[in-house]
Formats: sequence, structure tokens, C-alpha cells
Amino acid sequence: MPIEVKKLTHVYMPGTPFEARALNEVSLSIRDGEFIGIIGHTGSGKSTLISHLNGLEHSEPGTVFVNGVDLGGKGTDLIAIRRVVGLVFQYPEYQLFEETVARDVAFGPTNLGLDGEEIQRRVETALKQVGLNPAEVSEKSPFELSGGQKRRVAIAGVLAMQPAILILDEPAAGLDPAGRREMFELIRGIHDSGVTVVMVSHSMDDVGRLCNRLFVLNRGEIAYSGTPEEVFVHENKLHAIGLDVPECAKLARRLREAGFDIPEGIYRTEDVCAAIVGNLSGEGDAKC
Amino acid sequence: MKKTIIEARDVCFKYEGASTLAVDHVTLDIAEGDFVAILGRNGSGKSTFAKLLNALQLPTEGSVRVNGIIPANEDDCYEVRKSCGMVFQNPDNQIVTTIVEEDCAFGLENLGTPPQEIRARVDDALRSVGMSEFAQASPAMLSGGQKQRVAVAGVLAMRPRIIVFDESTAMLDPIGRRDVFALARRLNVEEGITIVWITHFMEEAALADRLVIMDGGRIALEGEPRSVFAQTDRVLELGLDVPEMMKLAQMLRARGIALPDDIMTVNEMAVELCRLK
Amino acid sequence: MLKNITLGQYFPGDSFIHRLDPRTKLLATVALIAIVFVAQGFSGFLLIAAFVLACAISTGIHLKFLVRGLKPIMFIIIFTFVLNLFFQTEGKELVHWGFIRITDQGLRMASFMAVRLILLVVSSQLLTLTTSPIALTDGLEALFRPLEVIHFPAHEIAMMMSIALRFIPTLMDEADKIMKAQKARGANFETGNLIQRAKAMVPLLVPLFVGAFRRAEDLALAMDARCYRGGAGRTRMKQLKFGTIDVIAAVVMALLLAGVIALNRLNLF
Repeated sequence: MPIEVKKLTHVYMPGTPFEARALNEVSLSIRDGEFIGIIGHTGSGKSTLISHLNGLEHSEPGTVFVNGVDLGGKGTDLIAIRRVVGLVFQYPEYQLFEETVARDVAFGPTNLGLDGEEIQRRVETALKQVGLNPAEVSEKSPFELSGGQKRRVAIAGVLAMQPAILILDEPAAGLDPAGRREMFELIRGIHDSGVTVVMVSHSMDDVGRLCNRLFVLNRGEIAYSGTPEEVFVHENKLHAIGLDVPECAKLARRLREAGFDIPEGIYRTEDVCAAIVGNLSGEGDAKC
Repeated sequence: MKKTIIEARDVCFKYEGASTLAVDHVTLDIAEGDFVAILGRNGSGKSTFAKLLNALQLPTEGSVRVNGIIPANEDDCYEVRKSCGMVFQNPDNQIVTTIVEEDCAFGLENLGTPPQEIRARVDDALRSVGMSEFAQASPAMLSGGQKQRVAVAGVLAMRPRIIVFDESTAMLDPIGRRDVFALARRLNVEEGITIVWITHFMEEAALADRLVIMDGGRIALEGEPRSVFAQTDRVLELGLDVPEMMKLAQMLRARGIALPDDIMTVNEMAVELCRLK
Repeated sequence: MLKNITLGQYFPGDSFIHRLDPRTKLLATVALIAIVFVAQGFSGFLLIAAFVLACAISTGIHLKFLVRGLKPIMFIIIFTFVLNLFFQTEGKELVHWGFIRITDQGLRMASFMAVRLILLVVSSQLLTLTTSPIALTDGLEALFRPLEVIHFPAHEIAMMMSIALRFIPTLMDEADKIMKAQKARGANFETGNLIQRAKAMVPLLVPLFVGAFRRAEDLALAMDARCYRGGAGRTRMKQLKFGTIDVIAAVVMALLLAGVIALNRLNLF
């Protein structure tokens, strides 16, 4: 289920004093099985962009394609698109509404018109996918769970629609460090199960660890894109638009400038460690 | 010797109906003018502890003396809240009025301050947080970081000796976060206001004068950030994280590279490694 | 982007009426309503209408906003007109058709009521168009404060109104977000019959209410932390002050009243 975005422009409230250009001729493509990171700060257009990817915002014909289907085309079945592209918004726990966890997770599949047995099966699978025990939580009220658990239930509610592509907006926002680590492990697991994942984040550390390709958005345009290595090379320019590269990438650059032999763009703690060991001990293929 | 401005003695707090203590026999002194960070996983009791500092909650056992007062009645509580302001997590849920400057005036109006003095102090406070040009704006039009600065101004106008920030950067983007942290730091250095900074972000905690880690309602670790984070394994066990350079240093030490155990920043690491080359 | 829509219908400006103290405007509006009922003839209504029109023009607000405000109550105006027309049976008969009987008195009464209603709506609209919601709340609080002696909660009501004003954009924003999130889960808010649509609102309304309660708790704590303890002993940064223009306004209103009474006496038409 590849995604193709061609010269997508989005203007809010055109023709009013509040007119604002959220996206300006953004083009990108996402292949099956990728783990994409979208980085940019508030107002960079990233929320608008992901809303377009499952048809929540109306696109002009010929700008957004999911699996070849033009989302702006006349008569495009947007409900069908939403079953393929799952979208988890920021603080998704605030959308929970049902009396029990199971019924809340079932909301999506029910809207798809599935039969009761299939819904039941999907609810259980989705809860397991987010690391919750269906037997334990199914009949609880979502409002009596802890903050982290609520968020998992909300994500399960989208997973139960069994999307081929999952988009998450700041999935770790507001969690404590252990909660963040668990959340990223969970998302990594979802990706490993064959789902294409698009993750929006402010944190280069997080996207660097998880994603195979990054898009950096700035003022509604794609400023940089490529593998994390390719993006982190632009340390100074990223800094100028208010984004930071991972600490280890900064260290690697400092050391390279000081005469260390360190490949460009490396940023993983283990890789930087190995490179330093190689330099200091003379071992060619040090590992950390 | 700096004066102690907050003295918590064997403080306990139990929520009604709860089986365990949210704050469990905490004893902590905070010196006037210090910048103290409090870390801890969700449910570690740090936010409850914060509410004990400005009498939003009263201890079920033990005592908290703030700026010389142990609140015993309602009037004492207001005295304590006057000297110990608080900035909360959600920028939207702590602004009361529809105009920025009126929100800054809210606390002073509650105290019954004369109008001219409110005016002067509000203008001062807004200038101090860099929000003067937004005095007439509606809070709905501001960014998260700007809203938090307005909240700080509202507290600042009351001329507190202490400001408690209860995860005030948790909902902000990196720019807003940096902004609000820098503001707290500046108020600490320039105005000598004692800051209690509750956070999930290690990089903020690393910059405090002193670091307290809470777990299960108790103080688990305490000291200079450097020496606390140096106990890497223990910190990770408490559900927290350590600065990236400390992790790297540990990895490098495991590979036989002799590095001191208190390297925290990229700069320190680079200097140390260049020395070894 | 819902939050960008201006709330209520306040039009910022710097006209004479804009600059009046909100209490003056509130009292003047009440006075105007009273004067509308004092008038007993078309000559009086004509004077009042001329006065209201002059006020409207002086504010610089486009007249179409005033006309637009009449639309929602057009039905009530017509209904009252018809009611008065048919059920007032005294006076000289004009039309008699079956059981319908229209008299000159009836026509006169019906027209009076319609004109009164229009004048009432337009003048209260002038108030809300020229006064910001917050100034209006302050004005109401100040006017009702004397009633606190009989335990009328003037401060509390004003505080509630201003908090509501503060949170309407926030909650509208939140409603927008929740709606999108539920749409992403396949919810359908747009089609279906009335019952289906009402049911479709549950996934929107429950989280919205839960969120509102959460915010209310947070806000109460934040207000406590800033030493809020009700209206007693509270001061205000912005003091409402009557100025020369408020005196002028009072004089103008008195002249209007005198004019209407004089016209009543003259009994022109």
C-alpha cells in the first residue's frame, strides 16, 4: 500500500484575514514496509500533512494517492481509505468514550460493518498487540486505566481496523522515560509485523533510533529528507530551524573535526562507541 | 550558609480511599535561591509532593515549612501560596481570563492589591517573561510556550520567593520547552527565586543545581545531577533515563577506555577523548 | 482553526458608543427598552427609530449585521403581528371575511408590537456589537453587586460567564480534534437520519464532556494556587470609571424620553 504525495498545497481559511499556508507543494512517497519519521515543530505543517494521508482533509485531485487511488478524486470511498490508513492522533486517550475497553476498541471495526465474531477476534488481537491482556482489561471502563494504558487502548482502537499503514502523531508525548521506551518498542513490534509506519515527532533521538527514512518539515515545505545519516549531516542548518540532532551525532562531528577518523552521519550510540574504540585502540572493526 | 526556605519533615500524604501513601515520609530541605529538579516515573509521588509545597494539599502526617510558615489554617495557606507560586502542566487549563494581561492580574486581584499597583506589577511581570506585546491578546491565539510564559507572569506578579513548575514543559514542543526552561533559569539567577522543577526530561534535570529522584512516594536518589546520573544502572532501574553521554561513557569504559564517571555533556566528552588520543 | 473565529458578535471599534462604560451601555439599553414601551404613537416610534439608526451609524458597524440579527426572530415578529391583528376586535372594522375580522385598532396594535420587537432586538444588538464579552461581564457584575446584600451571587455569575468565554474556543478546538480522531476510526457524522445522527454524536460528546471536567478540575486547582477565594476582598486591575461621555449619554437618554413623552401628549399620529 504505497503512498504518493504530489505537490500538495494546503491553505487554511483562504480569502480571510486568517489565511495561512500550512503546506506548500509537498511531494513525497512512502513504500511498503518502511518506517518513516516526520519531524518539524508546531506549525510546520506535519499535522495537516498526516490528515491528508487518510482523507481527513480534502485534497485537490491528483495530489494524494494511496495504493494508486486518488484521494481527491470524485467518488473515492474515504471510509475504505481509512481502513487502510490508520491514524493515531496526539494524546489519543482523549478520544475514548465507550463503557468498556472492548467496546471502545470495537468502534472502528463496527464502523467497517464487520460481523460480531470477526470484531471480537480483532479486538483481542489488537489488545494483545499493544501489550494488554484482553481477559484482564476488556470489561473495564477505559476511564479507570492509567494514562499509559489508556493510550494503548486508543492505539488498539486503530489497530483493530487492521490498517496496512499506521500513522502516529507524537505517540510518546507526555509519557515518562520508561513509558516512552515501552511505547517505541510497541511501535517497533507493529512495524515488524508488516505494517508500514509513519511516526511524527519533535525528537531526532527517537526517529533516529527507529526510522529508516526521515522527512524534515519546515514552514510547510520538506527541508530535508533521506536516511537519518543523510539528514543529520545538516546539523547546523537543522539547528537554525530549531531542531537538534542526537547527542552522539554532535559528538561524532566534534571528534571528526578534531582529527578522529569517524564516518559522516553516524549517530547511534553503539556505532559512535565502536568508532571511538577503533580510533583509540587501533582496532579496525571494533564493536560495541 | 544559605537560608533554608522549604523544610519538609517526614511528610506523608494519602489520597482518600487509597491503600498506599502517595508521599511516604519525605524529608527534604531546599535552600533559598536553589534550582532543584525532581524526577520520577509516573505515579512516583512527585506531583503530589509539589502540591504539598504550596498548601494545595496538606500533609496527612509530618510537616512542610515554607518561607517560615507551617500552614495550620486557611489564612496560612494563602500566605504560603503567595510566597510559593505554581505553574502547571497543561497551558490551557490554568489561564482564567480571555485577555492575557487580565490573567496576569488574577492573583493580585485575589489578594486585594490596589489597582494601580496591580497595573505596575502586571506590566513588570509581562516584560520580564517577554510577553508585553501580547498584553491585549487572547490566550487562544498563543502557542503552548507563550501560554506557559503568561502563566509564569501571572505567578511572578505575585512576587513569590519560590516557583514550582509541575511538568510545565511536558506538553510543549522543543522550542517552547527550551524557552520556558531558560525563563525559569533566568528568574533563578537574576531574581534569586527558588525553583522546584518537576520534569520527565533528563536534559533539563541535568542542568539543575540539585536533583531529587522520587520513587514510590519516597526519595530514591538525591544530590548533584552529575553524581546522581553517574549511578546509571540505578537510574534506569527507577524507570528513568540518563544523559546520552553518560550511556556512551559507560559503554566506552566497558571497552577499557579510562573515562571519569561524571561526563554529562558532548563538550566534556569531546575534551576527554581528545586528551586520550 | 475554529479558534480563529471571533466569538459572539463583538466588533472592535473606537466610536462614542464603543468608548462608553459598559454599565452605561447596559443601563441605556434597559432605558431604551422602557422608552420603547412608553411610546404610544407612531411619531414616538419614529423618533426612537431615528435615534437607534443614528447610534448604529455612529458605531461604524455595517447595517447589514443589524439586519442579519433580525432574521432568526422574524418568525416571532410575524407571529405576534398576526396574533394581534386577528384577536383585537375593537375599533372600526376594515375587513370581515368568514370568522376573520380585522379592525383599525387591531392593525394599529399589531404594527406597534412588531415595531417594538424590532427596536428591542436592534438596540440590544447594538449593545453586544459594541461591547466585548469581557466588558459586558464586568459591567453586569458591577451593576448587580449591590444585590449581594441579599445574597445574589453577582461575582460568581460573572466569574462563570468569563470562564465560559475563556474556554469556548478551547473546547471548540477539542471538539474538532475528537471529531477527526473518530472519523479516522470510520465514524460517520454526516449522513443518516436524525436518530442515527444523534447516536453518532456520542463518540464526540462523551470525550468532550470528560475533557471539560478534567479541565475544570485543573482550572480549580490553578485558581486555588493563585489565592482565589471568591469575590470578597477582591480588587480589579481595570476599574470601571464613569466619564464625561457617560454623562452625555445619560443626558441624551433623558432627552429621548422627554421627546417621546411630548410626542405622546401631542398625539400627532
